[in-house]
Amino acid sequence: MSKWVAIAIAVISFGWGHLFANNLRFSSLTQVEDRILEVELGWENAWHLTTAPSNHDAVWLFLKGKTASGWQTLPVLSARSLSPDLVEVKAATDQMGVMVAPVEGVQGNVSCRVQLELGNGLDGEIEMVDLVGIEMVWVNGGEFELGDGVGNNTFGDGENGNPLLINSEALLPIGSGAEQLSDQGDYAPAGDLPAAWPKGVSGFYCMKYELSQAQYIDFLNHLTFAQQQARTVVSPDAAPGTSALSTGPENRNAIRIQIPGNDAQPAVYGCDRLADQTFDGPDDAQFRACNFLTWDDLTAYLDWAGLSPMTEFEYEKACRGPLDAVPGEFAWGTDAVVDANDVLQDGQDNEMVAERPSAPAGLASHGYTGPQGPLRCGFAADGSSTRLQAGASYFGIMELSGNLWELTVTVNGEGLGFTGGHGDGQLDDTGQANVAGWPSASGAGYRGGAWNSGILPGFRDLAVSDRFYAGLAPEQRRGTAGGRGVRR
Amino acid sequence: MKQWFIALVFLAIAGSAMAQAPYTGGAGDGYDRIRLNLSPPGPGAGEVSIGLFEDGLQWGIQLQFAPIQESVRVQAFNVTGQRLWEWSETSPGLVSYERRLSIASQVLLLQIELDGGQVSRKIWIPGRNE
Repeated sequence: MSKWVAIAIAVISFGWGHLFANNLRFSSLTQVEDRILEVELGWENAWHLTTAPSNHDAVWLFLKGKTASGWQTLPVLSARSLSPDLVEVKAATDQMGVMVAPVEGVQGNVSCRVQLELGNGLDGEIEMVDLVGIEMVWVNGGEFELGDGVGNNTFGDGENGNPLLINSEALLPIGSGAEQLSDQGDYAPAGDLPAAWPKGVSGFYCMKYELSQAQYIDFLNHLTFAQQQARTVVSPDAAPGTSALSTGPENRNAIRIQIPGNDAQPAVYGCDRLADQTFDGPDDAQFRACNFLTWDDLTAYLDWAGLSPMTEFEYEKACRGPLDAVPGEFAWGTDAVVDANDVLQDGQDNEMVAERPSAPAGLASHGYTGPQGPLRCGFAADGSSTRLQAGASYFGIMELSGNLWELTVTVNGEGLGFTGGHGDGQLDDTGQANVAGWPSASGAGYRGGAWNSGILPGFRDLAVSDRFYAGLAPEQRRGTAGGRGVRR
Repeated sequence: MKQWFIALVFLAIAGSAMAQAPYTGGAGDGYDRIRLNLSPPGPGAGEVSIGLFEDGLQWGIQLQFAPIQESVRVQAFNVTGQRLWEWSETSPGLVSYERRLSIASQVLLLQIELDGGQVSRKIWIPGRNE
């Protein structure tokens, strides 16, 4: 009898050992030598699993330095983990940043120290350094099924329209034959998919959450006045409290001008949900997903952050993983959904909803009732949530169905010129991304639905393989559009 | 046999719970930023900034002024109140002063008289454990 008690205790401690937040937090940043910075960071619910889905999470770190002429990217030559039993670090070969990831077997709370060696010394020219961190999820390399056989304009096998196994990054021919990508229907591929076009078979890191309003504010606050003009809808010299991204309904976007700028001094932006001129308070919605983003906004952010847009193929891989396609499935792997309508702790860092789905339904913000705008990034995940309850993808990526549309590189003529390059941290003077091979909005489209997407016969925008708007250029600021980036 | 079956059920539950790790979460959004100021603002009129430096062998102290208008006088004491050294200068425009520390103490009390004002600061000298 005593043997069973011992086993039960072991199981309980395994199953309930997860803590209750993902809060990525920096606790210190110090200069230990001329070119060496040391950072102490931590996040919760970290994982590096050896069982399915056999992946890990990570944090992408990058640095910006302020000089008299403005902010610039600080190249990172190398990095070192001072907590090697918890995390490993890898500096990017393009020196754009560092990926910090739990070592195999780690699961739970991580608090670690990392040293970053900079390419340039921190002499008197640099007045201050900002270290930025974004939580990422590793999407394993390997084959996957593309298309679900039923979605609007779904990808599929040229012969029968069934899901097509994608098992190589090599050139993918289009046509009407078996093992070719179907060239029929709206937004069909313009031609064979080049080998250089990222297909999701190679592994990649994907942002765990959609771009948050706090993230976009930090981005804006590192730009020049002219660049801010391009990345907002209202001139940065407008009055304090002016909404930065919408001139009409704000749809729960709380980004406002805090201090107006001028030609010599960029504006300062902040989050002010209640428009009471009190910025970045505990209920000012900094953690909500950022809507009203165009393709130019998203790619500018990704260029600045050393990331890259994802392709339609990568979107489906990030959702479905290696599992068989399910007709009409959402990011959580089933075809049923519960709408997240009843918002609790509105605007706070623990904003969530009252609804809890039961299998086989997953939880997502969509449909015509409920909040008229996005919810907090990761609103559905709690300390013990399952994939369905969290509305998570196979790999643990949140809100790939619903909340805000994902902006992806599509397969039209311009989109197929994409080669997966990463941003170099510097925008052009007008605030545009300037990475070779990145398409304009004409080479992109929308996937995954949003808070205003209904699920009706013929309308299934949240579905992993639905492509109803996959070729619609994201040129307008829509209250339903956001996005995220990847690092290959 | 029955005991093994139950054990396997327990282990399956444990494995299932472990596999949920990617799907848990809570507050925040997986994003943060931190700032390091490399050029802190200099002292204002009548103020002095006090910093420590290390020249490889020994700790030293650096005082920065705004610059001074009339005069400055600095006295250093150890924890028992014993005066260790004194320095004074009447050099309008003076902006900085450096001195190596040779005391056998971790704590240094500075009394500074600057342009007629007076301030006392207690300095903690890292790395000294005499």
